[in-house]
Amino acid sequence: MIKKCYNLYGDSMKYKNSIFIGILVFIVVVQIIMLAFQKEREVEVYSKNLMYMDTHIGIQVFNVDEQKANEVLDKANTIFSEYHDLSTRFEANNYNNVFYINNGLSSEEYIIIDERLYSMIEYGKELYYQSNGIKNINFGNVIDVWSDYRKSMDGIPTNVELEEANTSNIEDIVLKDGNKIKNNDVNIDLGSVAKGYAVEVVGEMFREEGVKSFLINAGGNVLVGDHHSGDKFTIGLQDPDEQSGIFDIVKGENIAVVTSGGYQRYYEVDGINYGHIIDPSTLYPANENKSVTVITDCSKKADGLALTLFVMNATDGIEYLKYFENVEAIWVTNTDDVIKTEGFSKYEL
Amino acid sequence: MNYKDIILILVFLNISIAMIVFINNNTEVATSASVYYKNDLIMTIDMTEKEQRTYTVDGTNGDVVIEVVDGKIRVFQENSPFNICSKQGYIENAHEVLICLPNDIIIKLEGNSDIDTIIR
Repeated sequence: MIKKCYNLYGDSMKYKNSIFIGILVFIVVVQIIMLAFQKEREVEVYSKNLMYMDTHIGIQVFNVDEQKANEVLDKANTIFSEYHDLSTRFEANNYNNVFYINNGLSSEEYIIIDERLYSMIEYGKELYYQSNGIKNINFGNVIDVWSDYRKSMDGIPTNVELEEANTSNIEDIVLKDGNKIKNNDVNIDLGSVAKGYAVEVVGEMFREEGVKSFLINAGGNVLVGDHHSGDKFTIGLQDPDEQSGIFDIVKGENIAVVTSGGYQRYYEVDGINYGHIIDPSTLYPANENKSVTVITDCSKKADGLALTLFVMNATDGIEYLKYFENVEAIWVTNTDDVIKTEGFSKYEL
Repeated sequence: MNYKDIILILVFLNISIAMIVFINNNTEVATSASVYYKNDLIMTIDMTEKEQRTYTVDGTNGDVVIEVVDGKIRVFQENSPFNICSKQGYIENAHEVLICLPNDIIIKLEGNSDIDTIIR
């Protein structure tokens, strides 16, 4: 009887069971595919950490094989090392570098310099006119006075000291023929030109080598390529008052993000913080802002603009940016106001 | 072996694969911690720096002291009847949460993919 019943429903039971098994097999297959896909999603990343130009430089390249990664990371190391050597004010090396130019005895002769140094100095001069003198690469004398005081942590320089130091003129820097500079009485400081410049050169090298997805962070200078998984890179902007707090997050691909200011380079005298960026019009540290972050397509442009905007107040800065295309900025003013350009929100979450 | 055995095998296979997927999803290392007061983000802390440090935020019952060390985070000190959140100890994986209800403070660890780099 039971057997009969079984037989009676046997065929339809078999049919239902095979549908059920079919569904289960399908789920298992989907899960296995998901698992495989997840493995694939773990992006291959190769990184390198460097120390040049007084800063930590972190580089990551994505979606390349190990050999290629090592090859381009070594090239990046060489580029940063060479730009460091060319732009340093503090040491002699194989190049006729900035140290060599600054310490040369004044004569009417020309010194032959590396083409890369030539173009950095040329670009620095260009920035002087573009920024109405705010960004001045021949300002090393005044910067030296301040950095001596900062190192000794003993008071601040007097007006007289600063005025006496402020003798250099941008026109004293005379360039010729793409590889010569006049041996003049100059005190060049490529401080924030060289970093953005080198970052840009490394980014160009990556793209030429076919490494499209990369991230470079050279102490305040960030340049990112294509995102490794079709998303956007996420960059945290550090709170200028906090060592690890983040006050905003920006997202993007193929952008340069540069911050001027930041928390760590202050020194305090009688309860007043003195920053490291000097306003050429007052000869005292710029005190309009705690930090300014600029986002644009090119690292050296972002670098120059960030410093210029840091010295200006935010209202003037917004006006100034109207002369530039495709530049957005965010200010943290000295009164802790956060001000953004109109189009800044397109980089926010 | 009849249909029931096959079904049973498939069900277990199903569950085990689901667990692998689940575990894989939860081994992300935290890169930052978001601190919320009544749903407002009041602080983001970088978890990639190993050095020991403390932060103080305003909770409903006064100061809430947060300690971060070696990629782990805990509430070190807070005013509440049972001190539940400071007794919870350290958390360190992405998506883990510390909740201090009397103080209306929530600390949430964010995953690897959230922030690619921090600009100073």
